[in-house]
Parts: sequence; C-alpha cells; structure tokens
Amino acid sequence: MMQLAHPVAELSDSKSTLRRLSVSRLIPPPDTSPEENAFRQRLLNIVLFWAGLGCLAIAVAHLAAYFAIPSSSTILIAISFAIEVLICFVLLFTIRREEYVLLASRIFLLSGSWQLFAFIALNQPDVYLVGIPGAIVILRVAVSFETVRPRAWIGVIIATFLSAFLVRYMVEYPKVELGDARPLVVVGVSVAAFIILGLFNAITTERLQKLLRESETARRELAAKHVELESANTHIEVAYRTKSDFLANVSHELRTPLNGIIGQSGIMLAGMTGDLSDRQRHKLVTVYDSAQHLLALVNDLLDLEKADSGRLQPNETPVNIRQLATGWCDQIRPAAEKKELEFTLKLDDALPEMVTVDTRLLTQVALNLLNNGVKYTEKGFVRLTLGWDGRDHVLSLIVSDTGLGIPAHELDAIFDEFHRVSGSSLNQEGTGLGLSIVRKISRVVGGRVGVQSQFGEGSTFTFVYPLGKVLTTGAES
Amino acid sequence: MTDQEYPPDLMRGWTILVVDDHAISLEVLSDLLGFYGAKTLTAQDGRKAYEIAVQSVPTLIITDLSMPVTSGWELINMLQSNPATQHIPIIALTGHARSEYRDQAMEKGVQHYLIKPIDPFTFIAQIVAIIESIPELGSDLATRLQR
Repeated sequence: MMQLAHPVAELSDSKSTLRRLSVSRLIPPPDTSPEENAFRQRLLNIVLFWAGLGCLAIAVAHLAAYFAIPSSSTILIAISFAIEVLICFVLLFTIRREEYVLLASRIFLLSGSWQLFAFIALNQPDVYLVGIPGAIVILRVAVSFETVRPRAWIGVIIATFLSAFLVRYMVEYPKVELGDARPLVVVGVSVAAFIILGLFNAITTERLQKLLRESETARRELAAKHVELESANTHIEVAYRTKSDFLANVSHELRTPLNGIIGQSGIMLAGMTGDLSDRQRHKLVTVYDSAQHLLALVNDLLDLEKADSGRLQPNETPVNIRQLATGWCDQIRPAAEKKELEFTLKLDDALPEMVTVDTRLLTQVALNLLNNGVKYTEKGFVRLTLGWDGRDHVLSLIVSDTGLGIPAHELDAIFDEFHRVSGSSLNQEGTGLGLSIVRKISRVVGGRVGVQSQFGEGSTFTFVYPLGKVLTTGAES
Repeated sequence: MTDQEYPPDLMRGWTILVVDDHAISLEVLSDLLGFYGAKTLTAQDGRKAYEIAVQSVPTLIITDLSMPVTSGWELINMLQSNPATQHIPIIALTGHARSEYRDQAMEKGVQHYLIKPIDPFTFIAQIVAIIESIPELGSDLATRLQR
C-alpha cells in the first residue's frame, strides 16, 4: 500500500505549487532550468491525480446509471468511451513531451482499465463490442508512447479481464442466493478489484517515474559532461592559438634580422659595393646561403603549423596541369643541370588538360619532392611522372631518382619532422621539414604519400591526389 | 644568380620614400633602390613619413606595417585621406608571412604587399612587377626597359 500513497504525498506539499498554477507554465520553453522542470513535473502530477480521480468518478457514475436505468447505460458508456478515445488520439498526435505522455497514459490506464472491468463484469453483450476494440486502442496508444512499457499495459488488461470475469461469476453463480444484496456484492467486489488494480497502477506508474527520473539524471550527467568537454575544447583551442600566435611572432621577429643578413650580403654579392676577391665571395655566399636556409626553416615551420592547426583548407581551382608541371621543372632544372643529372618530365597520355586542384599545395608538394630528389642524387637521373587514373579521377605525382636511397627501417620515419636519413648528415641543405609538410598536405587534400626505396640505388615518392572533378578530358578513352 | 639584369638608370628621376623602424632595412632598401638610380628618402615612423610625403610627394612609398608610435596602417590611412598624397602608390613590406595577415591588409586597401626579408637578387624584379601593374608608373618603366 506504500506505493498507493505516493500521489497523495506529493499533494501534501503542493498547495503552494497549486497557487502558482497557470496554463502557460505548463508548457516549458526549450531551455528550462532543472528547478523549473521539477516544479512543472510536480504540477503535472497533481493534474494527473485529479484527472485520474475524475475518470474514476465517471466510471462509478456509469455503474450507478446502470443500476438506475439499465437500458440507457450502454449508450452512456459508449459515448463517454468514444470521447476518451478521441482525447487519447488528440493527445497522441499533438503532444510529444515526456511529461504529457505520462499524464495521458496514467489517466487512460486508470479509467480505461476500470471501464473495461465494468463492461465485462456487468455482462452486456453490446458493451463487449465497444469494450474490446476500446481495449485494443488503449493498448495501441500505450505502445506508441515510448516511455510506457507495453508489458505493464498487457498486465493491466489481463488483470482487468480476470477480475471482471471473477465478479461476473460471483454475481451470477446460480447456487448463491444474493437477493436484495446483489447490488451490494457487485459494488463490494468491484471496489476490491479496483484496489488491486489501483495497486498495480501505482506500481507501474512508480516504475514509469523511476524510468523518467533515471533518464533525467542521465540527461543531466550528459549535459554536465558536455559542458566539461566544451571547456576542455576551449582550452585546447586557446593552447593552439597561443602556439600558433607564438610561432607567427617568432617568424616575424626572425625575419627582421634575416632581412639585414640577406639584404646586406646580397648587395655585396650582387657587386653593388665593388668587386670581391674569390675568397671574400666564397665567405659571403656561405653567409647568404645560411641565411636563406634559416629563412626556409622559418617558412616551413609556418607551413607545418598551418597544416597542423586545421586552418589549411584546400582551395581547388581548375588549372592546366601540363603547364603547371612544366613550370615546376623550369624551377628545378638549373639545380639538376648544375649536378649534371638527367632531369625528365613524363606525362600520362590520359592526363586531362585541365584538372581541379589546389595549385599552391600541389606545387609545394612537387617542389619539395623534386628538390629532395636533386639534393640527394649525385649521378643518374631525377624524373617527375604525372599519372592519371581516369576511372576514379586520381592524379598521381611520382618523383623517382637514382640517389642515396633510404634504408628500409627508416622508410616510415622520413616523414617525421626533422628526421634525416642516416649518412646524409654531411648534406646541410634542407630543413628536415619538407616531407612532413608533404604528408600533412596529403591529408589536407584527402590523398596520401608513399615511398619505395633501395638503399644506395634510389627512391621513388608517390603522391596521390584524388580529384573531385575534371573539366575537360584530354586523350582519355 | 640574378634572374634578370636591369639597367642602372631603371629608376632615375624617381623619389622613393622608404619607411621602416629597423635602420638596417632602411639601409638595404636605400642601397638597392639607389643602385638603380632612385633618390631615396627614409623615415623610421609613420608620422615622420607622412610629413616627408606631404612635403616632397615621392613617386612611390615602400612602408613597413608594424612600427612603434605611428604604424604603417595609420600612415596609409593618412596618405589616402589627403588629396595631395592619395595618388602615390604604396607597397607594404612586412615580416608577417601569414596569409591571413595578407588578406587583412588587402581588405584595408593595401594593394601591393611584399614579405620580408628582401633578397637583393629578386627584390628589383618584384618591384618591377608591381610597378608594371600601376598605370602611370608602368608605362614610364616600360620605356626605360626598352632602351
């Protein structure tokens, strides 16, 4: 009986709540505080309790009407039931909020089960016709409400049927002579059955409430976690921005002295201050080249940071890929010729004339890979091949050389920042960031980069760039 | 090492105002521009530069952007709001390499933008490319280059 007491217990502390009752407060705005929601929940429970009690009164009135004017009761019951089903459907299709669903389900659990009980117990064949479809509708509606467990409803309906048949049996049992006491027995057994049903009702609603409470707790925990994560995220963003700003400032500060070194040594090397001896020229070239190296490092660090921060977004525009590749080769060729390397460009016949790529990023990749090729090759060739997969629209940029090569165990590490292939330490050029920038770019454009190499014989770097679309297909069949 | 040889009288008759708070940068720029015949004026902050610009109306102004006291941004604003100086082409020269900074500068009306450091072997080619895009100066330059 403890469970039965709970709506009343809620009532006792609700007088002040009732005073604050207004219709607008029943419909919560999207963002309501937990306190406001708890208040609303209490309010609904009160409405619910009185509505349930009202339905009970209607059902008792039906019973009384049956005893007073037996023939009219069928119509009365049918009409009131029809109204209830109508309200039920209106609620079902208009209300989506959890607490209203609870309200509706409790009202119909109480009144529906009681009426079903009354129909069967009072043995009216035409009432069966109304009652059974009615029960099905109630069940259907109950199942539609996700918060109500269908099992509880089936239990209620079975209990209703059983107790109803029990009452009918007792009332009509031929060997028992009820006489004038008949109505009293019917009402007495009905009240007993109602208490059992009410108990059942209370248990199921208690369960429902627990379920709702649990879901509310889970929701609150989730919301708290969300806030936590958001603040952690903000911290990370701030840290990133700090790092990024720091690097930008360092870059800016380094550029000023570099301006002095490159500017002054360049002016002397260009012969603007008079002739230099070979020895002086050699020393100055070292100063100038070292400063250029430092500048390349500063630039690469900025590029790397940008690719890291997620600020780098591919900006893809149509470009004539053959012209672009020729441009790269024009930039690299002087360095290759200086080392007497064979330098060739090979274009796939199927390569379209125009492709949509991020020209700046692709150029950065090509120049990085080609520079590396020339840098680490002492004799033989450096070759750039542009391949085309017409089916999937994938551009591949392959740079092969006959240079130093990479030991097998270092093949993965070469894409890491500042990693240098062992044995290449004599080579002071390069920043050690080129390949790691290439790898980051490959991620930005949704492609990949790989390497194949035989130590001492040469390397082949393959950069794969999947393209969104091709403008005009060239010799593609 | 030089991509292209320019005649030493490439900028003869031009007055170029160079603005930078860093004295060595001013020296490098003056040497370079002077080598090609330009007369250079220098200033180390925006206020001073503005006074010089109003007084001698130079052919071209090359200015740093972040400077103490009066920045390059303010200088550009002052020059553009004065009818006597608003026609002078301005080239911003800055150590801020980030593309965001560049976009910001473009939004504020800085049309020509170069990033430090200055490489004497390519700087003149960069300046020439910019000047070629400026109508009055470009045609003047074209005749000089043809000679």
